[in-house]
This record gives sequence, C-alpha cells and structure tokens, in this order.
Amino acid sequence: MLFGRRDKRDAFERQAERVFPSVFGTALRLTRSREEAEDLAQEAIVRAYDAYDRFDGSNFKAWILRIVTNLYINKYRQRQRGPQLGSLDDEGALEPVSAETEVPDRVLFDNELGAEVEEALASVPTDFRTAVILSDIEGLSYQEIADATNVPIGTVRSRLARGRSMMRKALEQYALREGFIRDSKE
Amino acid sequence: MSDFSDLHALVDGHLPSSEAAKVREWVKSDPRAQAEFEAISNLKEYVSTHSLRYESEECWKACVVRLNGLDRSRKVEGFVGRYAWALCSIFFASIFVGHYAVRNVKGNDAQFKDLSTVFGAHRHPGNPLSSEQQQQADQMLKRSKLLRAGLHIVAVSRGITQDLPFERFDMADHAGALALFRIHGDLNFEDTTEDPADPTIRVGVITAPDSSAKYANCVVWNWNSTGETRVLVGTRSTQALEALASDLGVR
Repeated sequence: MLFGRRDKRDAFERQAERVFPSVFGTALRLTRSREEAEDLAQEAIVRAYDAYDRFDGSNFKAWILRIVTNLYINKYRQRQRGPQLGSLDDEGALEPVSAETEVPDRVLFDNELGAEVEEALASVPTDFRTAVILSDIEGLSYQEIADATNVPIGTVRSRLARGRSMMRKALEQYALREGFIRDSKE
Repeated sequence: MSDFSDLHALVDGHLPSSEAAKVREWVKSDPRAQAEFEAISNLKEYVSTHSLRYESEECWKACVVRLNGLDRSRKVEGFVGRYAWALCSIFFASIFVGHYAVRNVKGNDAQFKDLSTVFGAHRHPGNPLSSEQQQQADQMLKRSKLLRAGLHIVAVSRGITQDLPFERFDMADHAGALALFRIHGDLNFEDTTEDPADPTIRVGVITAPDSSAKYANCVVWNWNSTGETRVLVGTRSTQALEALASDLGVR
C-alpha cells in the first residue's frame, strides 16, 4: 500500500513536471496575472494528483490542460475584470484571416519578435483565446479542446477561425505600430 | 461547398480524407483560398514558434511542496482510518487510568467553594445522632478535655465531595458552631496556604453561603498514612481551631 502510493506519486510527478511549462503558460495566458496563474497552476496540479487514479493513460498533457481550463472557467474567470466577448455568435460568418486585396505577408512574421504574440493573444476574448492557445501553442486536437472547454467540435472550429482572425489583426496592428509594415492606405 | 473554417481544419489536419481532398482542390483553383490557406498556416506556425516560454521552476517547486503536504495528510488520515479502533481504545483507557490516578494516586484538587457548599448544605439541624453515633461521639469527647469545655456534637451527616465520601460532625461550644469534616481520601484545597508555624497544616478562609458564620477560618490536615483529609471549620482564629483539633485528638 505504502509502496503503491510512493510509485503513484513518482509517476505523477514525472509526468506533471514534464508538462508543467505548458500548465503554467496556459494558466498565465488565461488569467493574464502571474499571481493568479500560480494559484491556478498549483490548484490544477493538486486536483490532477487527486484524480490521477482516474486518468485513462492516453494524453497526460491534454488531460491536465483540461483540468486547468475547467478550473479557470469555473473559478477564476468569474473574478476576471474587463470585457468578455463570449456572447459573440460563435457560429457566425467567418472573416478570412487575410484581407481580400492582400497577399500573405511573410515579412510581417519574419520581422516579429516573441512578445507580440502574447500581446496579440491577450487582446483576444477568452473563449477564442483558449481555443488558439490549446490548438496552436499546446498542440491539442479538436476533440481534446472540445473536451477541455465543454463545447462541441463545431464550436471549437469556429472559435479557432475567429480567434486566429483576431490574432492576425492584432499582429498587423503591432507590426504597423512598430514600423515593420506600412499601411496600404498611405 | 467549402468555407474558410474548412481551411483551418485542413491546416490543423482535422478534416476527413475525402473532404480534405475537396478542400485541397479548392485551394489549388482559387487564389483567394490559397492566400487564406497560406495565411492560416503561417499564423499557426508563427504562434507556435514565437510564443514565449515562461519561467515556471519556482511555481513547480511550490507545487511539489503542496503535494508533499497532501501526501502527509493522507498518510495521517490513512493511519487514523486504519487504527481508529486502537486510538479510541487508548483514549478511553487513558480516561479510566486518569480517573483512577486522580482518585487513588495523586489525590483530588478542590476549592473551598466546594466545601463551603457542603458546609452550607449540611448545616444543622442535620441528621440527629443515632444512639451508636452518640456513643462514639461521647467516647471521643471523653478522651479529650473538650467535654469539660462544653463542646458537644449536635449532628452527624454524610456526603460526597469531589467523588470522595465524607462525614461531617456539627459541634457547638460556648464560642459558637464548629464543623469537623472527615474526608476519605487525599483532597488538596487549592486556595489554602501553608501555616508558617506548622508545615503539616494548611489554613484558609471558607465562605459558607447560608450560615451565620459567613467567613469561617479553616484548618486542614492531610493524613497520608490513613489517606484521610480532615478539616475543622469555625468562626474563630486559626490558632484556636488548631488548639481544638489537638484537644479533640484529630491532629
């Protein structure tokens, strides 16, 4: 019994330590506050350890990020200030990522640094941001994102498309501001 | 008919193969779809490769500390859960042992207010003396000079204080009422002080709630050899009480 508990702790700790940068990064990107992110990440780890017996052994990272996301939705998000655009019609018409007149601008991406991604992410409303974080940063599948956010796969698809579109706009504004690209109207 | 969300799904590799082939055709044939496809791919790759790696080592250490705490509390819970019956047995056994020790080993602690309650509750007229008791009292008094001094026993009563049985002899002489308590056990009165002249005696003041002697002096002796505690109470000086106790042969 004693050895079983020790083994369980070791196994959990090995897996959790490996994915912890993702846990903490996701918590930070969701809460946008280091203090709250630390609380959220720690609580998620404790809950995951409590529920480790119920882990099916498939994808530990997806499983623990699901705990982080659910915890955030249930607890932390209610305390968050600022506008929440979660009431936007998720299934509404999609805007293309690239403007009709515009050819994809590789230069924009090549000239960017790292922090602007975080800045752009922060400007995206929570539901869409969560989809982009889990897909494009953490590499979760649509099904895993749907499980983590408790929405159907169709909603995940539309949130991703919308979130990326908002990201693109935010990055363009950043590039304009920093002088990496010129406004086509000028 | 494909739409832009299909392009996202294609980039993410989440389209069924038949559908993916159709969307690929669309991308090849439509420059706008092709531009969109590339834009999505570039954005996805860019976000994936340019997002920051946050320092999380300190937070992980805090997590390990919390997990250690959780394990410790589980260990204690497990131990308590497994051995609850033994812990309960020890707990109840300690109560019985403690009770036994208090009664028979260390002696009881009491306050004078306990005795004063007894003193008040058993003031005479108490139980009249039976012929046997009267005989015993007369014998006791005859052995001392007290009969000559006009001391007589007016009542005898029994009771229990601090779980210890006691007898109370109500007496009277020309100076007023007296009471002698013979407590069967070693009872320590917390609010008495040691008599500087005789360390075997403790003296104090007793408040009798319903007696004419509102404040009576007390002298207390503990007889370790017999395991008895004797208390003489009266409205007179402690020296007078001590002298009476000597005459009465209870010292």
